[in-house]
Amino acid sequence: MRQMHHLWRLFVALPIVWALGACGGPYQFHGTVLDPPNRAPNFVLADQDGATFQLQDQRGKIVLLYFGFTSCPDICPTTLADLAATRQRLGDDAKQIQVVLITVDPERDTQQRLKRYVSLFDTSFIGLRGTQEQMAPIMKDYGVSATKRPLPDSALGYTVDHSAFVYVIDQAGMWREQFAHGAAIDDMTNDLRYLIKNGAS
Amino acid sequence: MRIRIALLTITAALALSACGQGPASTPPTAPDSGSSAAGIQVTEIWSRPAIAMDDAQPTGAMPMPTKAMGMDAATPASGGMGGMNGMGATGAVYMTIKNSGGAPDKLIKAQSDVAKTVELHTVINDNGVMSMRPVEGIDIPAGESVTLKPGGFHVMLIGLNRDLKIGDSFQVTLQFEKGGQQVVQSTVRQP
Repeated sequence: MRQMHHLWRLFVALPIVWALGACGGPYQFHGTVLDPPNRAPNFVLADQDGATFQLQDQRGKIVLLYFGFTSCPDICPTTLADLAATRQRLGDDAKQIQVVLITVDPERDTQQRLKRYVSLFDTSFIGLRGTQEQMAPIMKDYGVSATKRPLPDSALGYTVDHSAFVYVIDQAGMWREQFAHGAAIDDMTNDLRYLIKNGAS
Repeated sequence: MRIRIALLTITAALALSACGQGPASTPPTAPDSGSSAAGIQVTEIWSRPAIAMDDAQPTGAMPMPTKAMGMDAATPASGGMGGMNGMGATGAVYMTIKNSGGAPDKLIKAQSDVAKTVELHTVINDNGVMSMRPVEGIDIPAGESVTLKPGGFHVMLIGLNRDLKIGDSFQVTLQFEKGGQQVVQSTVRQP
């Protein structure tokens, strides 16, 4: 009989908790979240204009990092186009987003080619390239796999099999989440809107 | 009294939890510029914008980056920092192929004036690692439709000899095992 006395509180508490979870409660990210977030490993590389790019100089902006290559006909253009579309959805807030492509094919992706390639998608995109020595620790830090594979039956000569994630680094330089290839533009837009509003939390 | 509070709260919770999902957006469908022969119908042929080989002439003015990044006017015309094999940038052509015939068919070859080489490829996703592989042909089973789209089968253009800009269109000649040759027009657009 004593239990019944308190049971009604459950009927009040549970729905409140459920409602909070469904709307207005802790935000649900759509990518794979790093919990707790780690500081995004810093790196220094040359950009498509030959200028020096350092990740930690980007504090204050959200950086979307993607590893790809310009001879990639399908996967990379799809993601980069999606990121361009995401920026467009954000309207004025888009200036707080910096998309960065790091090439996993520095042999073929010259500075000039990289520049033409990224500008195809969005004039704000940055393309970075580095030597094998510069790239190795960066790829290790971000868990990126990129393997050159010969294509004897193709005029392309070789391709680069690579992890195709978009790494999301917030305004405080914390690595928050990553989107798998094919993440919906709506999902990415919503996550970015949340990060823009909530700054470095 | 307490029951009423509980019921009210449950109702409120139900109302609150109806926080809408945004409306799903559907991509625009491309204008048809396809053709058909012997039961094979090809529609919605499209390509994404792409850049030509480093030493090819771009069709228009180069887009300038809006942010000031210490632009150097003296960008070398070609070669850059040791681009070796001169293989041009690549492009992809996507389409929907319908086989309304009674026998299975196969897309075995493609050709286009816009690129040095045209091949058929697919993409394999192995736990987040993307690999591209050339394929001998793309099966189009009898009575079925196969869509070549981003992330899957595509007609790959290797060694583009001109930039592909939004609004451009170019010819692609497709070769089917049974259906023979078909010439289609691809429109360059954003997905």
